[in-house]
Amino acid sequence: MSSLKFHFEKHAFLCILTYLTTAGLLRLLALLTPLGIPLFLSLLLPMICILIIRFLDCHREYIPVALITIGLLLLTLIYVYYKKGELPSLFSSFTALWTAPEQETEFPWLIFVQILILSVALSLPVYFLQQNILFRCITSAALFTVIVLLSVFEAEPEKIMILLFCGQILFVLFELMHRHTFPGPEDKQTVRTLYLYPAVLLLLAAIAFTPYNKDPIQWTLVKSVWANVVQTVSTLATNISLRFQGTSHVFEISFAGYSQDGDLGGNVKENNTNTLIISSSKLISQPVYLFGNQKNVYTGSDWSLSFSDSKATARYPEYILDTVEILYAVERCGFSESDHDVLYQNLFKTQEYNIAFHELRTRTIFYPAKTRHIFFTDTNTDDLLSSNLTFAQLQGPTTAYSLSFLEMNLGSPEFEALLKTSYSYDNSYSIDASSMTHLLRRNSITDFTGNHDELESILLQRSNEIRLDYLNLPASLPSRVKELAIELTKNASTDYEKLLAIEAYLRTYTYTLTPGSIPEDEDAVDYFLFTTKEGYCTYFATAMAVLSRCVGIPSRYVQGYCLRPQETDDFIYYVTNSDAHAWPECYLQGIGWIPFEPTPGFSAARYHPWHYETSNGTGYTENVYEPEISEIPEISMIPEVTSTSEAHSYKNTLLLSIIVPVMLFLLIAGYLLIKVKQAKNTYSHLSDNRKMAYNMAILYDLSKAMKIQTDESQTLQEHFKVLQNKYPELETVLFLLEEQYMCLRYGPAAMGDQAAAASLVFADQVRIFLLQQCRMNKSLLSYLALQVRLTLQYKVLP
Amino acid sequence: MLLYRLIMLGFILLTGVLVSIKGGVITYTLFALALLIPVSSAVYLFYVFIRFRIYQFVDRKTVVKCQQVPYVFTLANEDIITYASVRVTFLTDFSTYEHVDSDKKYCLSSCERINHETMISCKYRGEYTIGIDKVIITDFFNLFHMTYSCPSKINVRVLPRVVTLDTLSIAPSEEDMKQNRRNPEGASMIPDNEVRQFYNGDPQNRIHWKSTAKTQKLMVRNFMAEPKPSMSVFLDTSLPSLSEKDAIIYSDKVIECALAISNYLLMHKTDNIVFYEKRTLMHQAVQSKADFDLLYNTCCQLPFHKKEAGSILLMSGLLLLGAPSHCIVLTAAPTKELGIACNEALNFGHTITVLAIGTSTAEFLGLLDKKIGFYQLKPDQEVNDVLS
Repeated sequence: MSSLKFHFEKHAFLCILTYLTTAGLLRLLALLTPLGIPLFLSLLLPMICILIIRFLDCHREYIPVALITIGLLLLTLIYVYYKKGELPSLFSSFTALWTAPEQETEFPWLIFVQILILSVALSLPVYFLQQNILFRCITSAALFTVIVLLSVFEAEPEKIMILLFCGQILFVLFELMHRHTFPGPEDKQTVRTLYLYPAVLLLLAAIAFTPYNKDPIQWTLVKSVWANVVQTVSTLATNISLRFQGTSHVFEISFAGYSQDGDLGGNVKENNTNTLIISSSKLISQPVYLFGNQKNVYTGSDWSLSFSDSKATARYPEYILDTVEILYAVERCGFSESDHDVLYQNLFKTQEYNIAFHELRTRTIFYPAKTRHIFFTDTNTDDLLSSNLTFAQLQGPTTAYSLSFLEMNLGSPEFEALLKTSYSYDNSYSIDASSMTHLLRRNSITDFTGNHDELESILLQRSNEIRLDYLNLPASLPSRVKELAIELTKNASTDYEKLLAIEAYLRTYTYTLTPGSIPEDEDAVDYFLFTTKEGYCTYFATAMAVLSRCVGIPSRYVQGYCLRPQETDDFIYYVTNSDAHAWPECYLQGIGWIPFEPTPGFSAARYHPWHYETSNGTGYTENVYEPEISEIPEISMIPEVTSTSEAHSYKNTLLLSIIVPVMLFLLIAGYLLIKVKQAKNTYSHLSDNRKMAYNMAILYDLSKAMKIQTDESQTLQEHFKVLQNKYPELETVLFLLEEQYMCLRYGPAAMGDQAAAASLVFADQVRIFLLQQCRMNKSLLSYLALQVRLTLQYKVLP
Repeated sequence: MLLYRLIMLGFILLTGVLVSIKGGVITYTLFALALLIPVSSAVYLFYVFIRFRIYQFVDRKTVVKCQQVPYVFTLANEDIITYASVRVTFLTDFSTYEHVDSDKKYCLSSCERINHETMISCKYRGEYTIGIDKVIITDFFNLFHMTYSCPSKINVRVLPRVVTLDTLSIAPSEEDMKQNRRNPEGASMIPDNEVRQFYNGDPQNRIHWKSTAKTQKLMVRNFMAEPKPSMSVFLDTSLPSLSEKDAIIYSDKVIECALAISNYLLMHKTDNIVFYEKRTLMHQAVQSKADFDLLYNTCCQLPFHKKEAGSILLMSGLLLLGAPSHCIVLTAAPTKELGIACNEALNFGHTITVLAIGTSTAEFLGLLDKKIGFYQLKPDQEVNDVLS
């Protein structure tokens, strides 16, 4: 065995390196030349050749023998074929193997010879080169260069070839690193490197099983993991910032993943987190637009908020004034009482919602257009006068409120006709007090308390303020945007028709969630309208608002949620982050704010008219308007967690079963500690004589407990003698203790302080020693019982 | 190692970039190679950690302080794979090794064993671990290393050394106890001779006429040696708050001092009593070699503790002594209470010398009476430096 090991260490390293290179080169030849070199032979024959070369190198005396043998074999072969008369064809076949390898050969065994010749031709120089470390390094570098070049020139080598080259390179690397760390004789270095062959083999085997592909790696898994991590972190950061910015955060569409920093532009990813839960009194049959917040100043890249002083909404909430305005518009139509019901039925539908926050944290109060009343369960509200209604503090999942509003039948011809009218608040129409009262009561609007004669002036003032705040455009807006707006609306006669034209034009653009970023030096609307022509809701909403302003119609950019009809059995609807939406609202004088939907894919359902009955109809559909004058009931249809009470009772029981015993234990322990402390205080005030007597009593008691021979008639000296005999290590201290006690009992003077302290220490030492002996000799229970008895009796803690 | 790691990282990144741009067997293989090299290095490390064998042997497990003892350690590779780089570090807090380099790396090829014979000596008395502390193995690419504690530790029991002193500088000068004014019942009352019956051949000038007159028989003097003052050594076994290493050093110094002093006194035919605490107050009178051996055996296993007991030890020992004596207090915890006790002992007629082991003794020195001799032995000093 040791001889085998010796030969292995002596020859294996060089042979392995030579083999790896030669076999690899053979495979390279097979790749680059038309020579057909079978894989098996290209792996086997070099091994045999190298072994023979090595043998001959170590035993050079056999070289002539080998050469003679080969020569004889050749001659025999030639003679045999000469005799057969096949010698010329043999030579030509052999030549053809090199010159026209694709041709079939008459003598298949010549392939074997060919590969043998190639193996010898390659392995000989490689063998001699590998004997020097420098040439080994050069060979490895050359092989690595070959690999790189093959990759550059898009050759498709076999994996086995690359593995063979890598094997060579790895061995040389190991050797170099080893030489650097452990300089020494070369033979030892090579042996140590050689014995790393298991690691090399395993590494190459592992690489052999790794897959490969013609296409580069797409990193889909890494990318998706990264995206998830980024989203999780950003959601967490948002939640954290919401928690700490409790007094400032209002709803922004960027919550839901729309753009990164509030600017227009950028790609968006869908997010189906539930944000709101809506309980409705009726089935929702068309999209519901929940107003979150609006912005009025377009800067060229984003929207911001800035208002002049508002006198109209200083008295009444803006949403109430907006609702009153449209109802006043209907009132001005001059319909008779009997037509009123039909008219309202075709124009509006009353709806009551109960809105509860789910996974949303914001101060924003969401409400639909034409809201009549909002009920809050507590008065934690901040701004109820402007359009952007907010709570005073950040609200979370426990927040709920209810509201009622007039849902508009935007698709009905009557509504269209209403929207096409305009009114300039020039007192051409006046409403009397009873009509106004009736109007308000019929629609259950209680928040407007103005007189009938000031209604027009309030609405006029409001209209002027709206024109002031909602018509501004940045100076940097390219003129072609305005030109486009004018072009689109040139055939429209009313404001509503102009807006419809703009809306229709924008709906021809492409909807996408990944429109890319807007360059910093470009106006967002201009870039959208003329360059990309694709985007999502914020693009469309912004574009329509800007185009509307270009033709003199006040408009605003609104963010909120668009709840689309869902299947439900219990009239409960879930709003998700994916429902976050932006749309434009435009002000039609005399009518109020009307929402528009320029985003492709959203408009069809929006303008679909409801079913409605005429005045001759025999029945009502579910969308019937009920003009009863009644209070809006409070609705509490939020789904409640029914298992809370059960959970609470279980928790209470658990708490009680833990807290009560702990409290009891603490009480008892506290009482005992107080008693012991009192006793210790008392002890500390005793005279030295009394202390000494006290300690001696304990020692005597301990001795009895340990059944050390005690007798009532014993003297102290006799007792200590017994102790000393039993425990010789106590001899010194017992002697001193006895002396001290005798002085104390019978001496003429009291002990000095030092002596008193020393004697008490001696007593302590003896007591501790005896207790330790007690612990060793008694059971744990007995020992503990003794401890407790001593504590209670003598009130010390041994 | 950092350089190799950076190269590896660069290679991974480069092949990662290549495989992201271009497919094919070459790029994928190179990328796989780049990723698998660190993995294989880690696996190799773990394998070597499991298979590596280290043996160490010391001639005997009970040695005397500073005595050189043969020590052998063997690193063995019983595997088919080379262990590329192994380094061993040694426990040098309490022991020293000859011709051993903790920075030396070893490479073991298959079935190779490296034997290293050297001498080890322990610096302090006590029970502790010596030999190899940690083994650090590095993989063949120098990317990772793993450090683990040597699984087989050698625990030795080191006995204290008895230092032979030529002189004892801290002992008080010899005085005639008969003239000891502090002791009214001094040695002047002790007879300095005995009498016995006269035998033929006794010189006539030795006849004690007084005793002869009393006893009516011829009596001669039989001289006793002049009584020497007894010496007491107080071995304070309390220690201040110290690390484990310092605790061993300080306790070693205290024991060594006690043994050196007791040995010196014994050699100079001066009886001495050594007081110490071992669960309780104990004392050992040293009047012969056998007594000293008993004391030595006790000191081999004498435990030290953190509870302040020096003052109690001194006062209780002096109570036991009764008569004034020369007292040498050896302490590593010079406290205020001990200082007060020393002063009180002085008032009782004792001669006190304090030898404090440690570095912060200024405060204690301020408490002592000027008549008390004070000496300091620092942990890095030898006993000879102060006692001689």
